[in-house]
Amino acid sequence: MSTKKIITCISCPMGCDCDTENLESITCSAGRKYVQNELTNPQRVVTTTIRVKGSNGRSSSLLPVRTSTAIPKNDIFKLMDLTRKVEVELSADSISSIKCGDIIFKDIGGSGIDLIATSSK
Amino acid sequence: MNTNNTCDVYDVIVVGAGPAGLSAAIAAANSAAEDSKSKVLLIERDKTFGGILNQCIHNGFGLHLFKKDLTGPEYAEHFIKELKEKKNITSWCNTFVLEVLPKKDLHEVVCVSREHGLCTLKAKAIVLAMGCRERTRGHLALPGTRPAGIFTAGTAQRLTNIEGLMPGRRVVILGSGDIGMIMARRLTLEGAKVEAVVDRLPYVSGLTRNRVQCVDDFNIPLYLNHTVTFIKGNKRVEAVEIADVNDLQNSNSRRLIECDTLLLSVGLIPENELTEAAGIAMDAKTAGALVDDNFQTSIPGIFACGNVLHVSDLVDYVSSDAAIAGCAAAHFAALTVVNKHNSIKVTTGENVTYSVPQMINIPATSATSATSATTKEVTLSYRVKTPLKDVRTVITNQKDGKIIFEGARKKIMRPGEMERVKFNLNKDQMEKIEHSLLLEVK
Repeated sequence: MSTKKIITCISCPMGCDCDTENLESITCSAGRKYVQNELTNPQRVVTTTIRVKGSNGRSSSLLPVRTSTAIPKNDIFKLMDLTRKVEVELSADSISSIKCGDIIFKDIGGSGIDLIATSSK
Repeated sequence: MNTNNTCDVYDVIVVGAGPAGLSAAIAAANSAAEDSKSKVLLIERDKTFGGILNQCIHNGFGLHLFKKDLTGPEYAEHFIKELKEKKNITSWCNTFVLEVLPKKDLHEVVCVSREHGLCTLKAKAIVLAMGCRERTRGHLALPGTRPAGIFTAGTAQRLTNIEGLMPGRRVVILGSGDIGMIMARRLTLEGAKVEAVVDRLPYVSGLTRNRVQCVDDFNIPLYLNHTVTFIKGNKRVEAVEIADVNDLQNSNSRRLIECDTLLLSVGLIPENELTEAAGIAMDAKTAGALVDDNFQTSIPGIFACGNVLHVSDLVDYVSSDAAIAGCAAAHFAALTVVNKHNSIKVTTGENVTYSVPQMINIPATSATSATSATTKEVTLSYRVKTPLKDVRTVITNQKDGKIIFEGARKKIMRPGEMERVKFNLNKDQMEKIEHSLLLEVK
């Protein structure tokens, strides 16, 4: 790894360049937290989709999901492998059996990561 | 012509139920004119509401408006929920608007759907919120063969996130717009190999945060100052040739990248066919309508907001601007007498590509001015031409050259990131500005 002095903050759309050697110069608390995390344990929220069984062409056969919290960057591809293997089933009778914000998988594959539905089905 | 529902008169008809249309419809329904709630119709051509937000499954929406980091569908859900609670909004999906006809008395909207057939609807006010579409290979005149495997980034996004189809395995992305960079990450996560992101400019054209979290995070090669010069392939894309834009003639600057898919993220075009057909005055710089600070176009009672007006990079601003447009449309519908006002032009000067709105309404300087508000808050959205360091926004009265507003010094302004300023015009200033304000960045 190269010794990067400047980290571009991604906490908000401003995208400030932050000096990693002078954390005091970062005036925003989200930015300071981001840079600290980035130096020790970079984390990201991951969003992806999960297959839906029984959608019957009602709408998309995919359910968009997100991780409940930011996860370590190194675990992103492990998580993707897990999400590829699972699917959710819609009950045939109810129109909306999945609500936006529902936890779809708790501790998916023993990873400690919860997946949350980001759309209703 | 056999039409039904011809007698329906709405206060406000909103065309398009993406982020702008949803927000405009809700604002119009909320701004109750006295005791009678305005009757709003929201028309959408797709089968669901939310527009492009539904396929934008990544996070980063709502940071300004809700102070939360939401995904596209979550952001849309917030508005759709509110929409469904409003009894005075009728919403039609699967309905296509064919024409917007400005009339002296009541404007007309001609639309068609399976459910309602062909209808001509009347409205006191109309909000145009049709959004934008992507530029394609045709706009770039890219040399080479015409194989399968060339998509716009948004099409690829829809295929991946909604239809559940993978556009390809080895991908080159031309253009570093936000959708392009987001698709670079998305396809990488789904198992594709993104061979390169290529942009002819010396900087990425999307948000910096997207470069960091979508391109740099996954070590995707980024070729700035480069463009695709040739597409190779018989049935399917086999490779693309890229070259340094400053050295196009030199064969040493060219390189061939093997791939099966080329995504284009090369700009968006506001979808203004209805607007232009209605004879609304356009701004060549934004490719959208000319509007005042209520987002009213050159035709009284017709408003425009969202990406159909000018392409925004943050949905939060689209929603808040659209709410102003929706509210103004409802007020216009409730008016019996049109208020007299003067309008001043916003001229763009040094380093500024465009600014919206292009006009600001100020109360007419007649006897009524004594009772009108003494100051007026104005918000301008604009873009700079090139990345600028250590600059500030300056607004002056073009007549006497006096400074009206001076923004704080910013370390950097980038063309990919829309700037916004809010300032107050006091009564004295309003009287002194005869024609126009000058917006500059220096």
